[in-house]
Formats: sequence, C-alpha cells, structure tokens
Amino acid sequence: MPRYMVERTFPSCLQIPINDDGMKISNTVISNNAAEGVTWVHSYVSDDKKKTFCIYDAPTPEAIRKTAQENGLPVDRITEVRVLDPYFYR
Amino acid sequence: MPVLERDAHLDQLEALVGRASSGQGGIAILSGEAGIGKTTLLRQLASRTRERVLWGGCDELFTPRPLGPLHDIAPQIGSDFVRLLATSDRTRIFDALHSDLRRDAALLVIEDVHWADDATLDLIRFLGRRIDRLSCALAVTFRDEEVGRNHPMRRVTGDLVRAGARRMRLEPLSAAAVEVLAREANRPAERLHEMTGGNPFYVTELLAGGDESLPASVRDAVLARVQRLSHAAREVLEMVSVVPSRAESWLVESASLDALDECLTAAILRDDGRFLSFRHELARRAVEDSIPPARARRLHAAMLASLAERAPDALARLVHHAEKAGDVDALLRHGPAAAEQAARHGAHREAVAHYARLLHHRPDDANLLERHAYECYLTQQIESALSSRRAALEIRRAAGDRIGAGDNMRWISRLLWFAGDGASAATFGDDAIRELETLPPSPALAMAWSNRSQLFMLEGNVEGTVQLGQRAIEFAREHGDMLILSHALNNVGTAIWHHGSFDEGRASLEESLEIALRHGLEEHVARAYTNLASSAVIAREHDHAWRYLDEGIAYSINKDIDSWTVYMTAWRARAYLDCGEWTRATDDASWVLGHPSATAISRIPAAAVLATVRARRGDPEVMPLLDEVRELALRTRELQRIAPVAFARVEAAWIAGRDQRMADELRDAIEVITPRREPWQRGQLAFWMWRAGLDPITDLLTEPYARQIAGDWRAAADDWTTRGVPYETALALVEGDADAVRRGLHILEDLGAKGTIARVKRDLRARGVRRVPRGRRASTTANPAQLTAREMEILRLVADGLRNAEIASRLFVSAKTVDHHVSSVLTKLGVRSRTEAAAALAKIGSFTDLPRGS
Repeated sequence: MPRYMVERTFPSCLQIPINDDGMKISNTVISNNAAEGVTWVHSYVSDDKKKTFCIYDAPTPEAIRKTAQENGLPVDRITEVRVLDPYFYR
Repeated sequence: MPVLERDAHLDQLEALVGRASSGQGGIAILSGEAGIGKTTLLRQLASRTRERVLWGGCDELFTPRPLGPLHDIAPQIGSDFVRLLATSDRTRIFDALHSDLRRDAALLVIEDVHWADDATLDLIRFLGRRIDRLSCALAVTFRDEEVGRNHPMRRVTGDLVRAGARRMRLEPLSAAAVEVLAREANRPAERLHEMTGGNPFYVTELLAGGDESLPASVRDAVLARVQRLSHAAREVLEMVSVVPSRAESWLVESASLDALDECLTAAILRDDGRFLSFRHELARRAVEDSIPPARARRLHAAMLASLAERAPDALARLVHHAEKAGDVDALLRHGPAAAEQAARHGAHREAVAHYARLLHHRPDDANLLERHAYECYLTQQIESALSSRRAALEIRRAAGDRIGAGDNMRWISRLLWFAGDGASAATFGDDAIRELETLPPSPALAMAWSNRSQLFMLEGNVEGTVQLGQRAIEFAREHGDMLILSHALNNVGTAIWHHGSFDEGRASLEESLEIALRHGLEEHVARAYTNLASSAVIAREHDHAWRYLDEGIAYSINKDIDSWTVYMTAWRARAYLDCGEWTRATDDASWVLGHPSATAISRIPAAAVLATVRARRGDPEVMPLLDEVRELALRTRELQRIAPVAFARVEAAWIAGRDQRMADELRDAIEVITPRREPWQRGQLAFWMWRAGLDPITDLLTEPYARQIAGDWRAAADDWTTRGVPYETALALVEGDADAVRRGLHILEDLGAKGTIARVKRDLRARGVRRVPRGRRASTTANPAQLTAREMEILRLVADGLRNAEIASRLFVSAKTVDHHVSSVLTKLGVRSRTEAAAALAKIGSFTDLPRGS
C-alpha cells in the first residue's frame, strides 16, 4: 500500500485534549479511516499547532480525502513518499 | 452425533432468519472444505426455524443443469411455479420468485454454488441486489478448494458482500471437540484429531467404522464401511453413486428392499421419500470412483434409459449419462436441446460447453458452429467465436449457401472489432456486403449494411455511416425488422450528433431507444441510452445527459446487464467531473476501475477522469494511471478512447509546469482528431494546442473554445457558465481582468483545484499581474459539508422556501439539474428534508462566506 504525507493547515490551534474527549476524537478518526482502508501512522505538529505533517498508509489519494472530509480535517497537499534513511549508505 | 463448535454461526443465522421474518432480508455465505459441516449446520437451522424452508443445490454434472437449484425448489413453492419454470423465460421466473419471497417469509438455501451454472449465479445476484426488500434469508454454500481465483463465483460473492452479505468460514473442529465426539462414541481419541485435521465428516466416518486401525484417508474410511455390507447392498450403493447429488427412488426400483434397508440402517444412504442420497457427497464420490470403468459405463447406460423414459426433460442429466456411457447417438440426440435450454435460461457458459461437446463428434455441422460462436460471443470468448465463425464460413461457402456465408462474414467483422482489429473488421464488413448485394435484399444484407455503418460511425466517417445506415433503415422499415431498425438508427443518430446536428441526431437515437424499449431488445436499449448519454456529455448538454444516465443505469441494473452498467457509470464520472462534482466523479471512476467485469473501453474513460481530478487537486499518482490506459486506448485506434486520455495527459503536464512535454502529449489527439469534423473534439484540441504554444487548428471549433483562443475570455466564460461547467468557466475567467481573475480563482478554490491554482498563479505572475490574489483565509474554505458554490447558491434558495421549478427559472437551468443539485446537497449535509437543509445552512452560514453564484 502506498504511503503519503498529508499537510494540513488549521485556522485555529489544533487541540486534542489528553482526556476521555481526546480519546473519543482519536477513536472516531481511526474508525472512519478503517472504513476506507486508511491507516494514520503518525503526525508532526508545528510549534504554533497550526500546521501538521501526517504520515498515512492508504490505497489511493481519494481515500485520504474522503476520510479527511468525514473527520472534518483540512487537506493542503498530499504527496506520495518513501523512506530515506540517513544511514542507508553505511 | 452432536454438532459442536458451531453455536456462534447458528446464532448469527437465526438472527438473519428472524430479521427476514419481519421483512428485512439478508444473505449468509457459508464456505469451507468438503465435509466441514455446512449442510449439517443449515439442516440444524432449518429444524429450528418456523418459516418455510426452500432447499436447492447445484450438482456435479459434466455441464450443470440451467437453474438446477430452482428445479429442486419449485415443488416446495407450488405447482404454479413448477409450470412456470418449465414453460417461461427467465425474466418471468425470476420475477415470480421475487414476488413470492416478498409475500411469504422463507429460509432459502442454495448449496454447492461452486458447481452452479451461469443462470443460477445470475439468480443469486438478482436476489442479492433486492434482498433488503424481501422476507428472505438466503444462505449459499461453497467449497473453498473448488473456487480458484478466476472462478465466476468470486464475482458473485463480491457483489453479495457489497450488498451486505455475511461471510462465514467454517473452521475444523478443535482437538477438544474431537475428544468429546470420541468419548460419546466410546472410542479412543488418540491420533483422531491429527489424522482427520478436525474435519467433522471424516471424524464421524472413522468413529462409525469401528476398525482398530485408522484408515489413511476419508476415501478409505468410506470404502472400509462399504466393504462390510452385503453384495446386494453394495450394488445399490454403486447405482446411486453414479447419479450426482441425489437419485430419484424410481431410478433404483430394481433393487431389493432388503438391500436398500441395509444401506439406510448403516447410515450411508438417506431416504427422504422421493430421493435417495449419500449421507455426504464425499462418500458418493468415494464409491463412484471405486467402480471399474466397464461396469460404470453399464450403470450410466441403465440410468440413461430410465431417465429418458421417466424424465425426458432432464436434458443436462441425459447428456451427462450419455457421455459417461460413451453413447454418442444419445449425446447427439439430447445435446442440442440441452444447449438450447441452457441458452434460453441465460446459462450461456453451459450452452458453450454443450455445443463444444457436440462439435467434438460433429466438427463439420455449420449450424452447431454458428450456435457455438453466438454463445461464445455472449460470454466474451471472442477468439473461440471467431474460429467457429471461420469454420462455418468455409462450410457455407462450399455448400453454395451465399446468404449463410455473407452472414458469417458480417459476424467475423463484428468479432474482429471486439478483438481490437479495426482494419480487418472493415475488410470483412465490406466483403459481407459485396457477397450479399449480388442476391436479392435480405435481412442478412440489411444487418451487413448496419454493421458497416456502425464501423464507419466508430471511425468518424459520417457520410459512410449515414449512407449505409439509411439503406438498412429503409429495408427494416419496409419489412418491419425492429432489431435492425433500432441498430441502424442508433449508428446514424450518433454519427450526425457528433458532427454538430444535435436535434437531428438525438431524434434518431430517441427513436432507436423507443423501438428497443417497446420490443424488449435489452442490448439495444442499453446501447441507445449509452450513445444518447455519451453524446450529450461530449456536447456539454448536461440536462439531457443526466436524464439518459439516470434512466440508462437504472435500466441496466434492473436487467443485470453489468457491462453496460459499468460503461455508463464511467460516462457518469465524466459528467460529474464536468459539472464540478469531483468527489462523485472519483467515486464512480474508482468503482469502475475496481469492477471485476470492467473491460478496456470502461477502464479508459474512468482512468482519464480519476487522473484529471488528481492532477487538478495536486494529488499524486496521475501519470502511472494514464500510462497504463494510453496503451489500451491506442490499441483500439478510436478517437473516443484516445482523445480523453490525451487531453488528461496534456492537462496534467500543463498543471505540473512541464510545458515542453505538452506538444508531445497532444500528438495522439492531433493524429485522430484533425482528419475528423467533430466540433467538440476539435474545439478541445485547438484549446490545448493553443495552451501548448502550437498553432491551433482553426475551423469547425465549438463556440466557447474558439472564443477563448481568440482572446474573448468574457464570451467564453459566459458560454461555459450557461452550460454549468465551473472548471472551464474558471479557466476562461483567469484570462481576464482583475475582478474576473479573482472570481475564477474562487471557483477553483471551491472545486478544490489546488494543483490548477498553483499553475494559474505562476502564469499570472509571469503575465506581470502585480498582486496575485491570495486565497480566501482557511476558515472560509473549511466548509465542512464541502458544498460547491453552485450548491451553496441553491441551498440558500431552498432555505428561502423556493421550489425546484422556481429555482430553475431563477438560475436559467432545467428543473432536472436543480433536482440533481438538491439531492447532492441533502446527501452532503446528511439530511433528509428541505427544512433540515435550511437548518443546516444556518450553521454553515455562521462560519463560511461563499460567493453568491459564480
């Protein structure tokens, strides 16, 4: 399955509280993703919490857009990526 | 013997039957190896349910009976249904079963679907698509090991699972369960699980055998038990074993009652009053395989004689026993009728098998060859169809039958086109006409004219299409041949439409459609809808396009003609793309690309749409998709396949800023379009030549493209706006003044065309536009329902209380278009009524600021 980096910009800060509400949000995202065969691997969040760089495994770019819509998440750009390891040549 | 480790399955199945009783049907698909206990589980379910149980199975004949399971089930439904099954066509049969299952609740079991004929697979698919409105719990079973990757059953299970079917794979028994069974039979459990792999049938056979040493296979276990019976009883078993699945009691009436009782007491056979059957199919096979060949032939000959006398309609079974008895005369006597019966029920694969077997004994029978070829054509076995047609042609020629020869040439022409060899198809099409024109006019000649007319239409030769098409039309009108008339009107209508005579072309196609509908010519109905829809989409006449697409797709789904459903869905993807509904476009396109029966002609347009949306959104995986379908498209040598791929490629290159690639990508389109006189294709080609910095072709271009190339962006944008195509509107607006550019960019933002926006902004900067407008702030584009500008506009009017007709007249579009937008808005908002939509607007309105109109 291809791997994608998804860049998102949030109008206000991204807030996922570390409590039951936060867990609920995460779980909804995960089950919406599963319905389209999408796996959220992990994300990097900018310091001001307005931009995220998320790594996903997904069957197609359309699957990523569909889950983003269901989860109410914005999408700036989807790029297909591969792993490059700095110690590759050692 | 108790049934172990099946409680969870049984609970699920009981719940399924319970829901069916209350009018909400459902499907269970049970799979597992032979002997795993599928039948046992369903028998147990049947004994617990209060609803009626309809039970049928497929059997392992050389060539299965068409609708075999329905023949088992019919007597359980009633004598009217038995009569219907014997005399009616399959549409009536399916409809009758459908209304019966709507009226009275039932558990419907169809066993061993891995052996099903095509008509039975169609029946299962037919029920599957309607199951939620039936009071029916449908349980189908199959053996995993019999169903390879390309087994037709795979497609059916895929369809059923999409329709919500529950899959149940039965697993072998655990060691603990096997131990329980051994303890109940007072036998040692040692090595039993390991030997049997937990297969319940094997376990019971071993436990019933009573041997000290364990037989090495399930076959040995069965035969060891059989060996303990008397000679007379073994003869009964052998007789029953040569009849697949089950034998009518009268087939073994020569046997002594004592011998029969012995088999029943030993629990090897079971007797349900009318039929004798082995307790398990594995046991039947074990016994059948142990019969020496000469004796087997004698047994089959005896069965053939009894069946021919008592059940002369059981054609597939007669053929089976004739073949196994080595009785060629009987085979030739029953084979043709068996083949016709299969074809009549739509079991075309089985008809092919019957004809192939007959041709093995009679290779020079032109009638058989032609029928074989026709059934091959219906099952997409184009190469086999061609070779039978070629053989039939030689035989007809040698016999001096020139009409027969000409008709075969016309068929070869058609088949060669299917095989992708357009040049040879034209040659054979011409030869057929030459041959038949030396004789007085005949339906064969009229069909040859219409066939050549169709090839001219696909080549884009409008004069040729009309000239030969008209001849066919005149003949067909004079002789009242509705099939030829519908076919010829379709060719002529499509050709003249594409050459700019919109109303005239549409009138011919409408007449073709009307004739086909009135006479139930399903393929011709579907073909008429397809050409009406595709012509309307290409001419950006979307109000018409939506009507034809809606009706045509609904018709094809209803008639289960999948290849047409898939092809029209690919055209619907294009219509959604043009109307700015990109998520629906990609849904349709992905569905087509993932469909197991999608052929190249459906994959090509679907891939072009999907790749175009990706490129415009700035998403990855554009070119790999287009590389694959470019090869497919070039092989067909047809404009309608090649042009969409070329346009998708050149647009992707433009968006990606690879301007020097654009001329290259256009080469395919220039080659196929410049010799043609189709204004929409020429207009689009000229537009991209202009964008690529080439000298665009100039004559016979449709208005909006011609205007834009001439620098009249305002007229072009107005034209595109009235056609309801937002993307093209935006591309015209961004050529204009500051206000137009801003409006154009807003439309592109609403469409989510981030890739295109980036490209357009680069061009604006290069043009020296000093302040390239920035996108609206993220908060305003975060429209959670993803409504397009047009949809927002319509939603506002809906919230103001306007009816669709009023909205239509206010926006200068048809009511049908408004219907589409409103239903799209309701879906996106996840609401069911206009009032709820108005409430939803109040919420959206508080944090979005989309422009009114575009």
